[in-house]
Amino acid sequence: MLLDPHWARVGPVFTAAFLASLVEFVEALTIVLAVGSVRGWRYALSGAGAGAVLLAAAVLAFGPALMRIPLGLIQLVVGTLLLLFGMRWLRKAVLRAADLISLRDEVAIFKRESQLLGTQPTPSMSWDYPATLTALKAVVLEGLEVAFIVVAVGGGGGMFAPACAGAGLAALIVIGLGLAVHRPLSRLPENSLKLIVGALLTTFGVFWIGEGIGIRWPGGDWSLLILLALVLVTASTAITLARQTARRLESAAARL
Amino acid sequence: MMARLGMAVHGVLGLFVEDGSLALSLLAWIVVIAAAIHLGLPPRLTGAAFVLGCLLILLENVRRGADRQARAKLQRPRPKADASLG
Repeated sequence: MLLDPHWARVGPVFTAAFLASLVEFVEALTIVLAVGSVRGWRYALSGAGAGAVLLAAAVLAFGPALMRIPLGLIQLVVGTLLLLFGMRWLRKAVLRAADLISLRDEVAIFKRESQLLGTQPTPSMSWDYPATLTALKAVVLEGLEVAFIVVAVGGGGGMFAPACAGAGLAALIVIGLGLAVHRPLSRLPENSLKLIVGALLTTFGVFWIGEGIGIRWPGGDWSLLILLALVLVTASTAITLARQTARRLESAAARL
Repeated sequence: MMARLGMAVHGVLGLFVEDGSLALSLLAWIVVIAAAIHLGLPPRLTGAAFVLGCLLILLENVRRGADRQARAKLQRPRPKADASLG
């Protein structure tokens, strides 16, 4: 049962959607918490809720529609988008891991957003639309990447259910933690998660582009796991390479 | 209206492209590999070349990016926390 090649695809699809959603929902939660604590929870929750409905509608509209397009074409187009998207995350995560780009600080963002919201005048009308819009915008902007991942890895690979399940589970965890602790979730190893998601999306991208242009992968779906291992080894090498480059320049500068 | 449309397009493009040279190199490599298969080169060989090429493109891009970031870092005090989206 576990050797069924179907699982070689379901596992990475679920993991990619789950981890990507975890990271992005934590980022959205920071802004929603800032809106809630400064301007009121009903504005924060209504904005976040409206954003979530918009995103769910987009996923439900595009995901199943994607599955009706001819497989070869969809593999090539979605694979290319996934490769570009995954490599973008991977590159950024590598540079952050090498300490060349600073890590995202949820507590600093929470403080900055809270200050900003505190200095903005509260509107005289009965509903605080600017606060609601701030929460909505955060959920939509952060969730857009999640929506793309769910639609692409789910709809593109005929694995819509595991992709939605992964994103849904991440949403439940982040909402649950947000309700429990009422402060930004700053302890999440965000960069490591982004690196893993970047590697997973890059793997799917390479695999589907290959299938779309006529490459026959040895082992079928199982080659996804070998590709993933290769991408992770390359990412690890890239981190070492980036650190060495930085150290070389630092010592050259120190000699001057 | 046009400015907002431009911002929206820029936002969507930004999901996929952060470093233009990385995106262009990957797209060019896909075209080369597709052409090689079209010309009748063995799919297994082109498959291996495709994977290797993508990973080398990433390594080279990271090396150049690290060089750029390290040079910029040496010219400024330690940056504050990244508060950008993503």
